[in-house]
Amino acid sequence: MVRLEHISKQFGAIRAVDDVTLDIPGGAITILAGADGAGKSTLFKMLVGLAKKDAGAILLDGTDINGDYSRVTAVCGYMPERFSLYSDLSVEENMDFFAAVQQVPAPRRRELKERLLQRTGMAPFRRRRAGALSGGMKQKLALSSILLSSPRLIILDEPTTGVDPLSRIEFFAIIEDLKKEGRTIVMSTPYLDEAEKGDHIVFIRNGRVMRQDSLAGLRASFPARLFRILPAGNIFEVMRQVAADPDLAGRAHPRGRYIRCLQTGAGDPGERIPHLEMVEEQPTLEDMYIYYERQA
Amino acid sequence: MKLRHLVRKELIEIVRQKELLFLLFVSPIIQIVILGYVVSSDIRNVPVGIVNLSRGQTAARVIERVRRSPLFSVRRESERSEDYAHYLKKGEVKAVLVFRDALDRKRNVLKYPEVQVLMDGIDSNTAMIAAGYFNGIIRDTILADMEKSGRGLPVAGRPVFRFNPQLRSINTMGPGIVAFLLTIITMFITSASMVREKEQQTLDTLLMSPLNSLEIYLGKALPAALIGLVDMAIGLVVVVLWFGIPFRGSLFHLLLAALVYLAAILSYALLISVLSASTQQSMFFAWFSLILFLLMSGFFTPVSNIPQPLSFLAAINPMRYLVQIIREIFLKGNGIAYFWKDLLALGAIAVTLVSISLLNFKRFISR
Repeated sequence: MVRLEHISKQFGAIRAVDDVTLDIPGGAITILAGADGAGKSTLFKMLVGLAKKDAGAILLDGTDINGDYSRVTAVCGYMPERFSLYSDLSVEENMDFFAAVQQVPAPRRRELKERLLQRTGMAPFRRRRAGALSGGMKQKLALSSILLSSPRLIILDEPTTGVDPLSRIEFFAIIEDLKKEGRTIVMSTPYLDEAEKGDHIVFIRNGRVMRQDSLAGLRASFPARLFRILPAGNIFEVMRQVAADPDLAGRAHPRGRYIRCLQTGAGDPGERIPHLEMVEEQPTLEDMYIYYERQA
Repeated sequence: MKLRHLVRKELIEIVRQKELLFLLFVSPIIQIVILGYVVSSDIRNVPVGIVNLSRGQTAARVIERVRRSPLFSVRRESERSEDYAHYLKKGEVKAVLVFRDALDRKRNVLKYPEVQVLMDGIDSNTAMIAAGYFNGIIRDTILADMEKSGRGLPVAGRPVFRFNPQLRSINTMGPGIVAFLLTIITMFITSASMVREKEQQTLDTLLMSPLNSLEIYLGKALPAALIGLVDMAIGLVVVVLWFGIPFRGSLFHLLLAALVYLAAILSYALLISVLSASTQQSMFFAWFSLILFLLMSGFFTPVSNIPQPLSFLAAINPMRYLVQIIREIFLKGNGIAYFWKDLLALGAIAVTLVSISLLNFKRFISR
């Protein structure tokens, strides 16, 4: 649905976004994963026209928007990183205001508002001031507000940062629903476990795309194997040996009673680490992200 | 109308803050009452010391008049010449009157006693006025003596004070306070308004909406204008009913002047709001501007007192014209024929400020 081509943005001497080309497939969830300051927010801001890109093109439904951001804003709902609704207004007033400035006709606004209040479980809190909501509820209100204009493209900048685990699960359930309705969702997150819920995953680091693919695609192309090793003897002793071994240093990390070890190329880490048990595991996104980050 | 929703939102945001409501609608009343009673250039009960070295009746009569005057309160009396410097230095009194007998050597008789009036010049305004009153008392005594002996002055000026016969300073201040209220309220609400959107991070919401920059601009200005006018009305009622200052002009003219003025002051405040990075900064700017506007508005001191090289500052000060126009309307009951030049100047300032501010606003919105 959206394609960004060779997008760059410079803030003084810092290249916040550096020649990024990425696809946001329609009707799917695209997740941008990367550390703080990787350039995710800047990328989103350029997409909706809140920041000017220095170079590159934005394609919507196959054609270049050529600086006409109203084409994007007409079809998208954008939720900025920090809660950005009015804390002195109630839940309902916030939604009404948002729908009104988006020119949603009144009957449709009422119907959608009710549905969203029910769906998000916010109905009992409709008269509560937005400033008095919990973090998770604030995010649900923000999401509800941008959904009032029935956007085809939903852009969420770190919607789950600072939100409790239960609310996060709920939040993703809503996003799954939206996907089922055929909408395109693109969101960013610093949490890699969350990124696994995306259909299309983009690793961003220092303003550059490190890798982008589906979870399966990322796994298939991952050049290393992951082993879970139960060391023979004291784990600290073993880790000391590992740290001294130039082939293993930086690749093996203790986790609980086990050592997790990434192995590239031929050879078997079992030969170098005295162990009682060694099992090959499927690498998580976190393993892959850290691997690529070290490579870079 | 999208604008209507923005105005409504702004008003709800203001109404929700109870402390702000108090500041907006109760503090003006307190301000007027305090300004009305405290900020007065009328002099009363100036502490006076008297050193009387004269034995004559004339000095005694003058002293009696000073004692009876409500303007002065005699705190110290002495017959020793070394006391006078001591009184002033200690700050017990603001003025010392020294009476000394003078001898006509030719005829060997006592003349009118010599009178020395020593003033504490730190409070220059009071000193000047009080000195004038002392001279008046002395002159009246001499005149009374002359009339007794059948003589009079060949010519005497008799001043008549129009529009404010009792020379009450509240009559000058009151209308100015109305102008002041209109300024302070609108300035502070508006100069914080865009910064608040920035700080709350709600600005992006507005910028992403189909609202254009003019609509956002008006959406910020109109609620403040409305509150400003309500406050002005409160001020008007208090000034007229409480202080009994007559309102002789037309309300329509007052509204007209207020609206032109609001265009100027609101666009100035929005300019502050756009240029400031934080509420703190915008408040500082607003205060700084307000003080300058106020000091050069003729509210406390006449604009004509400003020295020539700096007089352009008063010429571009919108508040100066409003204070002028409001006094014309209030006390003189003058119509637009008398103040159209001021209104025109105010209009020109408003147009200039709106243009600069709107231009900056547009640039800010489409960053």
